[in-house]
Amino acid sequence: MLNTSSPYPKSMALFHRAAELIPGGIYGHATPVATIPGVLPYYADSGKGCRYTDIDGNTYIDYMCGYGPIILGHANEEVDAVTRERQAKGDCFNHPSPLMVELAERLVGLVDFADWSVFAKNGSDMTTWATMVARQHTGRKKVLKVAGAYHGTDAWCTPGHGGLIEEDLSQILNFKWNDSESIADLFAKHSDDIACVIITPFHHPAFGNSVLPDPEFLKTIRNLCTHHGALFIVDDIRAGFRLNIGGSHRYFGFEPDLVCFCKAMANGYPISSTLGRKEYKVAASNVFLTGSYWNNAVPMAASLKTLELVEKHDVPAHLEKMGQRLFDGLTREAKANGFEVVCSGPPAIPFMSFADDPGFHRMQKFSALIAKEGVYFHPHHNWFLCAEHREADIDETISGAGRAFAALKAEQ
Amino acid sequence: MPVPNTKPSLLVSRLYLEAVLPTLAPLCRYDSKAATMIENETFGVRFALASGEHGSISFHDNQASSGNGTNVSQLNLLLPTAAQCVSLFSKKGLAIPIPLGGWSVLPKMGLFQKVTDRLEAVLQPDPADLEDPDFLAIHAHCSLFLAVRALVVLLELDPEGQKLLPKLPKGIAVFRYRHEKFPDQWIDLTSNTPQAGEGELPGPALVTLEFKTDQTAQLAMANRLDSLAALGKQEMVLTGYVPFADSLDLVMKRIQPYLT
Repeated sequence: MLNTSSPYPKSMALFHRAAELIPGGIYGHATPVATIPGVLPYYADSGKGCRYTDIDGNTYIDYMCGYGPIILGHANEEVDAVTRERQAKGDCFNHPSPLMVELAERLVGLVDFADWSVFAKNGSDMTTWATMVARQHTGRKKVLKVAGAYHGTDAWCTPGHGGLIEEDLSQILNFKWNDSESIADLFAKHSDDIACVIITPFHHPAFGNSVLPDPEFLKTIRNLCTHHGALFIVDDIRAGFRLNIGGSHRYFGFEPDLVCFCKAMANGYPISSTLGRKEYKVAASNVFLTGSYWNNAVPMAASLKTLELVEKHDVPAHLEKMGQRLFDGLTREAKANGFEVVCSGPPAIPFMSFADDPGFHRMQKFSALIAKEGVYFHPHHNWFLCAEHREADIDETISGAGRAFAALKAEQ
Repeated sequence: MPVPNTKPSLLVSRLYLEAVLPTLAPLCRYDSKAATMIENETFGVRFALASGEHGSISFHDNQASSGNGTNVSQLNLLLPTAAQCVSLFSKKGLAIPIPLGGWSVLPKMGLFQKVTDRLEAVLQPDPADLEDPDFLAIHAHCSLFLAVRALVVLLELDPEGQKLLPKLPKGIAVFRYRHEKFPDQWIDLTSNTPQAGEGELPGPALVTLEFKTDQTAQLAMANRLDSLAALGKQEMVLTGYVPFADSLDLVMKRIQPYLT
């Protein structure tokens, strides 16, 4: 059944082809089901700066930035120039290139507590490996995580249901975000068998508002880990380099033992990393780590240039400023149209929802309406800003939001 | 966690009593063959386990209705154990229900058997029958009706359902079928006891899943649908709090293994 009234005829037609060949048509976080099927585009064609164009020719101010990797803007010329140069010399060899050492030195220099670094491709590669390092170091089994937190797609942490067996989760215990008592209880019950605690620097569940960490909660985790000899891992995959170039722990003021980065570290080129304290380096060396493309040179070149530009232009400060401008504008326009909205998360990684909208119905309608204004807002996942979101783009977004709020009001 | 090979009799018997048996109501409402069978018939049948679980169906005014509330002669049948109840409904093994009253209805049991056979034919159809669009629509609706009521049982008794129930949001999930003649089916988790129903909602929906094609509904009910693809193609439309529907789907997928 091809929806001929869709504003995305090419997206829809391509998806119908895909659905015959690819389970789910598009799977994972990019599945149309995660947004609003038929109401937002399915396939992208091109992007430049803070805007991208779908295959039907619709252009949007992009507030997802590829779900995080794009921190400098789409098709950043400086990053792409170094990758082209590197690509011309070859990318995938029998050995790593010198860039691997340069990048490790660069990252260790940026992250205050870190003494070593390893590389992979995706966030899951690193969060899973980090928990294995913790198990190797401690000789313990249990991993403590926040209920509802996302740490990737491996069996121990996937939000999916299929293909799992009971044993996959048998050593994974959940505690509540910002609930010190909840994690203290787990340590009281299992202290001799807890290898690590893994958290994201702030809580950003899908279908929920983002929640910043209570400093006491972070302090409790640190103290419990130190006292019981467990490792404190921060999954900075989503937030890394957006809040502070040295890692989000510096933004929120805590001290982990291992940190996992991905997304923003190479402006869209595939690479991830874990960094850690020197006392865990031997354990890290004992946990096998490799992948077909994990030593590739191009993403490492991209990462070095991306980090250079993020630092040079103080991108985290820019994102914070633009995010606050967005928050203020959305709140103002919502109020002018009689709506109460909740702006959550750090401004650099913003999200907005409607108060009294537990099913996100109103947010889904609003996202559909603002898409018509040329703004891509995800209805139930935190948003991302990039260095190319300028004041004019934010203001254009706010104007579009004003019209979308008004249209929403008219619908009710 | 897969459905255990040795299925708990109480759970399965409650599926028959509280989900399968009530499905006779939509069957007789929409299926012309079943409707003809019960034309001008007035009687009821109540099945009860010794432990108290029960289910009933009444035929009156050319329709069928489940539960109490009708004033028709009713045959009361006692099934001493849940295992016997499962044997009776699944037609596997020996089951001898003990009539406790409503003897005048006994001659109607042949007719009752025919109606339940028709239900079986609709719920577990010959693939060729599904090529008839009217039959397909009735099959899909009856399957959906059954599934929503089975969900209530599984949330109470199935290990996965029990684990899930405390984590589910307090809300109402609605399952809508494209034909206007078929009322919405819903499950209400706003109170501590899940309840299933149809038609007017008891409150605002937290999530709504609408089947836009008959085949999509049929495949979904048979656990043979690529749901992500169907949603992307808008053969199904999901609005509201998607994780709620996702969780319920996890439990719904367990209905069929319990009943086969």
